[in-house]
Amino acid sequence: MQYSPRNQVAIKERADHGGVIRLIIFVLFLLFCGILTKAAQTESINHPTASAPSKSSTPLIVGMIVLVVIVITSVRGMKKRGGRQVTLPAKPQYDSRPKVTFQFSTPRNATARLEWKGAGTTIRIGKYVITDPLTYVSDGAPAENEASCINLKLPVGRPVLESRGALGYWPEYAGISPDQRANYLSWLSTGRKEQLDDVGYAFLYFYGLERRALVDNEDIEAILTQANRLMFYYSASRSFFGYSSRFLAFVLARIGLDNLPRESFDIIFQQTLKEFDEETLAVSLAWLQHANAPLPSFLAYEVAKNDIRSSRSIVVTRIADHFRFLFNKKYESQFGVGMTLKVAARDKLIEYKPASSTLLTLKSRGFINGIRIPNVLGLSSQFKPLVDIWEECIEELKPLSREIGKGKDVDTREAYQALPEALKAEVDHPDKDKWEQFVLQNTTENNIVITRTSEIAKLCDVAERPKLTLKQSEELATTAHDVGFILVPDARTTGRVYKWDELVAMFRPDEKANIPTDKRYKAVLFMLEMGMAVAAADGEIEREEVDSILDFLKNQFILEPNDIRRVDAYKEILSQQPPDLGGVVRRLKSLLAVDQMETVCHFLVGVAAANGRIDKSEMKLLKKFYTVLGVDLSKLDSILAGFTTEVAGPVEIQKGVVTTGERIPPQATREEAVITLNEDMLRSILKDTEEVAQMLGNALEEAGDEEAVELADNTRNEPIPSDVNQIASETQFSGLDRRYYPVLIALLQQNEWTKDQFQELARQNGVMPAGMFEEINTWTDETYGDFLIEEGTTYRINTTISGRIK
Amino acid sequence: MSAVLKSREREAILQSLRAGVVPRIGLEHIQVGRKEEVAAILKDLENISQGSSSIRFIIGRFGTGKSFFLNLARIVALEKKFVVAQADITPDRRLHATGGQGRSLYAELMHNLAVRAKPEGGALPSVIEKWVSDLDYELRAKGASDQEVLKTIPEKLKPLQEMVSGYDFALVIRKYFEGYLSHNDAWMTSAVRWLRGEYTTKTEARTDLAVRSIIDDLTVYEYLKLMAAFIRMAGYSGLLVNLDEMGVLSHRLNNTQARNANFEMILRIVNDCLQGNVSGIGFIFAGTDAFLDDKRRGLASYEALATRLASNSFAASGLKDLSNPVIRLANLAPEDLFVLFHNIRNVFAMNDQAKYLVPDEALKEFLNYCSKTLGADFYRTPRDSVKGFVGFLSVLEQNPGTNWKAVLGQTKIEQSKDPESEPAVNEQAAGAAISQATDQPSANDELATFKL
Repeated sequence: MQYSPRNQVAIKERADHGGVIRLIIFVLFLLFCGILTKAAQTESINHPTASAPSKSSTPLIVGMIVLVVIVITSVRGMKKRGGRQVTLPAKPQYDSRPKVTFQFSTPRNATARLEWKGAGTTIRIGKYVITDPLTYVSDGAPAENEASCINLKLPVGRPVLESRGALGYWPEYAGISPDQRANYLSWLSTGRKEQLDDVGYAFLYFYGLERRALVDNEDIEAILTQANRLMFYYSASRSFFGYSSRFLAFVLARIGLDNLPRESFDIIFQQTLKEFDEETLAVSLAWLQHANAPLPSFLAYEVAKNDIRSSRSIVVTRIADHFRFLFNKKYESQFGVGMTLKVAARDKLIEYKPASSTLLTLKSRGFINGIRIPNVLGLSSQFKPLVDIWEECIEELKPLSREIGKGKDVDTREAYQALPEALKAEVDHPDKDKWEQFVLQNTTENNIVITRTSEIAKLCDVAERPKLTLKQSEELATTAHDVGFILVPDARTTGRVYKWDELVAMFRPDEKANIPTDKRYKAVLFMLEMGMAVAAADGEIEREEVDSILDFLKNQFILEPNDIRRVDAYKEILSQQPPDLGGVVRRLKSLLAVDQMETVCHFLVGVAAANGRIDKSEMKLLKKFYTVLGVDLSKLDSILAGFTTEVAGPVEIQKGVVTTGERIPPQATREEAVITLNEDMLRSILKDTEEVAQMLGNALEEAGDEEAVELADNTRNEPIPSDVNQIASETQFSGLDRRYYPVLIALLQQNEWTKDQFQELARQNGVMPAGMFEEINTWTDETYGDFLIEEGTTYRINTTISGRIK
Repeated sequence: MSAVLKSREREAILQSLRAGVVPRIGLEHIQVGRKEEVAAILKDLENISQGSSSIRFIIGRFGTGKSFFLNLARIVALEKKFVVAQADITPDRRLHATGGQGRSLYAELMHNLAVRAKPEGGALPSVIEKWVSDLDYELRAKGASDQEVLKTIPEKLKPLQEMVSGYDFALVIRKYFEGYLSHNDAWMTSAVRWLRGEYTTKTEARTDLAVRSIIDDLTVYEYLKLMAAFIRMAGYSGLLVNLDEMGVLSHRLNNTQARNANFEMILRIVNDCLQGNVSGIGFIFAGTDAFLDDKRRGLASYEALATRLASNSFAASGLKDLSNPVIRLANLAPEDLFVLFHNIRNVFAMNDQAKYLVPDEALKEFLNYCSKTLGADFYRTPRDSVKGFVGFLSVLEQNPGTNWKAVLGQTKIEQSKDPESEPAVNEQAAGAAISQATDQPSANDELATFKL
């Protein structure tokens, strides 16, 4: 017989009882001997002359003999037990501590048959009625060891509340307490879906399913259904989920991939399985490959997730839903219904690790062998695109993750702005209703809203200030775009900030609008500005004149439909708020080289002549342009000369009436000097505009970037007192947070500060000393290469650095 | 990094090298090689700043430059707006303990907390004030009062309150600012003391700050994570935790249980970092190869860690795999050492070639001299030769006009001992041993064995 703790306990119990009985006999005997001896002594006192001592000592001799026999028996008994004291408790103890039980053999008297109760049967145990039990039962201790077997002979108590883990790691029906049995049977009888205090009960039941499927190889369908149910209800336990999902995968692989219909595949792998490990993934992919079915997006996600090439990032867990959605979207856009799977040359071996201790023993004896399936995961190169999508998703969702990490909710404006474009299209902007209402109230007849920046800024809760920061300006344009409108001018394109009451236009695009990236668009806007400046030079802008400029530009540059609408909207703004000529000239000078100016002037002549004539005011303006831009005026004359056909001057027709004397004929009405244009020349100039557009586009792009950087530096915070603002505009403080300007100025006034003085200085300026120390020193280290303030018993100012700052 | 050598950097570099320790600042001026390793650290820092986490084990023989590398990582991190906490592991400062040694390590880390403007440590108040001051400024711009600002602090720290002990953390930050507003330095000091893990009893903390918990041995790692989250909120890129002398855990702790408990803590950190369970924090552990590879006492004795840190079998025959958490520092080549000496000479001359104390020939001579004196150890442990070289140049600097050849003939280079050859510390007796060490001269103390 092999070692069994329970058998041993029984033997020890018997041994213990024998010893106690012997001890009691011995004590009784001593008492008896004592009484006899006393009686003998009394008799000898009463009869001192009696000469037969043998009579009084007989009981003592008998007693001694019995004593020796008892002692010898006891010693022999102890020798048989190896001389150990038996201390194990006779009754099994049930406590809440987890315990590990190994039993490799059945109890000596275990002879009952292990009987499977499948679907359609009913078991009644006391008050518990279990329908469709799918478990093993036995009428007494079973002949075959099975942890889940319900021994109908064992007592059942009443259901009790227990702490988690009270069942132990490998529970057995025979080993748990009567009350725990009651808990188990109650759970079985109520459909095996009630909430469990200890998932051990589900495991106990699961052991039976494992045995039936893997050892008996029977009732597979019912067992799969049951295991799937259990996995669904008790997936909160990762351990149970892991065991049951691997069990499902292994059984499916064992019964053959052909035997699983699509709907069952979907139920198990799509609806129930929340997470996949290598085995479940291998089986599901093998099934798909075998069925020649494309890889669905949910499995593509799991493949990418389990691929070692995929990065582990907080993004994946922090915004899991967004991540999964984006991944699926990208996958579907790249692979449509899904990628076709290929299989590696060698099969994959799937081994099963049973949950049940009974089956572990059987497995070690070779009862449960591994299964080979087509190895789809083995050809990892086919999944590289999935890893790429995974990485893209992480990168694109990092901004959102950062916002959520800062404590923002997903439905806030900040979170929305951090969404990638693909996700923005799926959800409405939190402010959408507000914007829609505003547009509804302010739309003009040509479907354009002309309004002030301040109105738009209020929609975005931007506080009033003379000029918005670049970030705020871009935010307005982005938000407009996100709620479905286009804002013109667009700060993201121009790189220029909005003034508080600047005119802006807004319209709803015909189709999905993108940020205009075409350089020609920028150039057109600028040319429109220049043209409007020229057109406005005569004091008023004629509608006809404006239209002709616009038509000219539209004809010259083939723009996107939305860009054309943008240009139209910009025209409306410029019509109401003509551009300042000085500003246009300044910008041109800052952007272009001297030789490029001439090309631009050439172009302007073309614009002025777009209506077929150049009037006096336009001539005056062109001359002004040439002068301001530093281009020789003679070049204008030569262009104009080239344009001009021969001008005959005013024709005077006199009537040939012969009369006395001669009447002075009335002078014919003279038009203002008009230059008639040479069409060929004009066309050649117009061709040049493409070159100008390219040139301006490039220059504006660079300028926009520089401007953006500069503005970003200067817009870290709100205004500071006026004298400090003066300094703020100077370069030596650029990069430092404005709130430290006053304190820095004060610090530079003396070379040494006591701790108290330093703290007082910080307090006076509304900043905290340690923060101030760090901020200023970091800034000077970055800007001037060393720290300004040196900390010791006092704060000393580094005079080299202070000298450079000053 | 700026290539301009500042005078305070020069002094710090020379003073440290002369003493055989790693300078805290200006390392970029003497750094040689290790390009891939530095690139790996830079990549880690980039990941951390993006909200991820990282862990690295810098493994190398005694004197190969682990501490140097650790400090280099610290400097790079500071440049990249990280907050860096650095400490050495000792028997009374460990990752896991029950007798206050864990808290002691945390206190040391917080004491050494460094930011760019305070590279030498002591930056905890700066970190707190940066966050509080930004919040204060933002709210006051909207017209908030003192009370409103105070009230907002716990709200803003709500993300931290979801973490272990986050609620008390928020209360302490609030107390700090309350102390500032009311000119109560005691409150500010108490708050900093609490955050540094210097309270040993809850009663004391409750009296001073009205909080119910303190940072103790069991919560050290939780507070590091909490601090990392706070640091990110304050606008820094993240927290880098550098722990040097990790070999103490494996070879100075005799008690297996204590050793395994510390390894378990390392395993937890490794798991968290590799699985992305933590954010905005990075760990760099530096230790000798015995710390990692010793199958009896090192990390290799702990199966779970051994498998996680196992080297890539393909990265053999000189190939490197820096995606593995373990970075093994290779010995410096003679050429590397030449460049190192060259750099040290530059530091002496403040990058002015005209002020070089010795010609290139002297560098080669010194290399040969070291090679003869120290043998193979010369390449394995540059510490002694560097120390000797700095001494050599110092003599020449202080005695202008002296012939370098003559000085080189008199220079003696002593080989230092491997600290891990020192006897291990018994867990129970550790505390006693340390206190005795300060009172009684040890057997190796020269004074104790002085003879006429």
